[in-house]
Amino acid sequence: MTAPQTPGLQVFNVKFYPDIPFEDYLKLPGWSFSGIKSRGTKIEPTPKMQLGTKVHAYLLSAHEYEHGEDSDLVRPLAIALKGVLGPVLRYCTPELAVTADFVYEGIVLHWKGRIDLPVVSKPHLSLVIDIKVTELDLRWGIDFFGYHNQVSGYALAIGAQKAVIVSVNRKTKATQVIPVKVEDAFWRQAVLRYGKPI
Amino acid sequence: MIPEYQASYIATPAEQAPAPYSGLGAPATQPAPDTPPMQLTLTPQQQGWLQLAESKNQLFAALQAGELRVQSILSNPPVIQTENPEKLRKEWKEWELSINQSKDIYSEDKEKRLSFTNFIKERIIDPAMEFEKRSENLIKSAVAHELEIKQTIRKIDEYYSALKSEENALVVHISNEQYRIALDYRQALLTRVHQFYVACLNMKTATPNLQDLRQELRKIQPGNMRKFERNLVSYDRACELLAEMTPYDPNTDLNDISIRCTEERFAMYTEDLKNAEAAAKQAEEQAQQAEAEAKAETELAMATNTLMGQAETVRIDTPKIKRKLKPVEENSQSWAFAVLAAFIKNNAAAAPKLRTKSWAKVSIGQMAKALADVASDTGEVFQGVQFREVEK
Repeated sequence: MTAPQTPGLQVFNVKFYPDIPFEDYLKLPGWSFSGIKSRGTKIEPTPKMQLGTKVHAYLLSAHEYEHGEDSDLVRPLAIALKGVLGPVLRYCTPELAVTADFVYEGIVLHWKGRIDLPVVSKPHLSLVIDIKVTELDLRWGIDFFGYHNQVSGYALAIGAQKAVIVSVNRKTKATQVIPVKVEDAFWRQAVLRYGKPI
Repeated sequence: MIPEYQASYIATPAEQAPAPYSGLGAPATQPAPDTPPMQLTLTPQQQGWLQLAESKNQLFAALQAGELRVQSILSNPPVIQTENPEKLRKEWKEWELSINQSKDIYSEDKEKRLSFTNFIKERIIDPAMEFEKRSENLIKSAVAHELEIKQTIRKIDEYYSALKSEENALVVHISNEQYRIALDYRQALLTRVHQFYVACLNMKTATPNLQDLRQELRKIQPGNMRKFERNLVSYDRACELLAEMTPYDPNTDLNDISIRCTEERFAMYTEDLKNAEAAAKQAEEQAQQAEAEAKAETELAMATNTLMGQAETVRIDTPKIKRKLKPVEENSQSWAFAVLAAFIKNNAAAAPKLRTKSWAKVSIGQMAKALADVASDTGEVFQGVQFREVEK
């Protein structure tokens, strides 16, 4: 499968891995955003990541998760997110692992990502939703952690024209919705830095 | 320029050391055995300070003497015994006299001390505090003014945030309405094409008149946009937003469906006619499937629009205003009892809020403040205790 090309950066060999555990995702070949940020250091799921996974689980199958781990914490967060996400949720494929080849100026970077809530559909309907459970204002997080680059990578890989970060504050349960402009500048640099000649 | 207090200490070459002082009067000069007498010129203020120092020394000496006298008078308390009651009675009378003497000394010394410390308080401490009091008042009014500025900025930000949110909602509304109108219109056209096709199959029409169908399709009108309740967005701004969006053109769908879709639909008509019943059933299934897909796509597009329309509109630099509850103090017994009862009932939450070093000195006012802190955190209401909101 070939995703639509963006100016400069081309995307090939997009593969989807639905329903694979995080441990198996880590074994997939390729550079993830986190991998690039941590310079290839092994990534273990942090408590915050685990909380995010639990929130996803609750969002998508609340009845099954009703008495799951940390349900007292997870339930209100999931309910707050559900209120924002609305009917989009039923079109999402949760925690979809994806691999792709990012190509730029004759150099290829094997990329991988695990997208929280993607809508994989026709290009004009495809959408990336990234969920953040945070205690900070999401806008600081975007500036500080470069979330927009992470989400742009997802969107480029699945050919989505729209991407959005939805956060929920674990203390106040307040939600924020920040649309992300899909840009490839970060990934072009990543290809040149970590890629290999074709 | 040399300040006065420095200038007055510039000594002549003959001056080696400050002259000693005696008593509260003017400084006395006393020639040192081997050096010429030193002459020091003091300002009236400096002389006053020196007199004050001398007064303090004299006072402390007098107070110390008083203390020593008291110690002396009370140094031999009688031994408490039961063997010789008469002796005890006599010693008690003497001891009583000693105590009275001590009390007199104590009172005299206290008066001396008060006369000095009151002088210090009235002439130095109180006037010195006036400076900070004036600054404190100025700062208080500046803080109040700052609060007013913050409240105004916050109101402005809240207004523009609400305005932006309503604009977003309006854009989402227009976009979603266009999707809905387009979906309904396309579906109405396709349904008519499908009905016409099935009718032709059922009636075994050899050559369907597609011009009739196209005329019928032209009669179908797209729906109207539902009204959006505007509160903050002006009519002109709403028109601007509408103009910025690509309008839905029903003619595109009409042309597409009346020509391309119709021709595609009837491309296999001759073949379908041979097995009209099965073809009609299949056409029905295809139409249902196409309708379901179109509905799903539209719903997804509308849901995405709605999600995006909730984009953050709050400014990150809006001033934070702390809101706290303060008790409305009522000088009545019933209010005091209400505070006391509420404090006891909500002891677990209220006690940690109480700022006191001594539980013996806890006042009703302190309890009311603690309850106000609890109410600030939890929004709890306590019967008979009123609070007012204070912004900082």
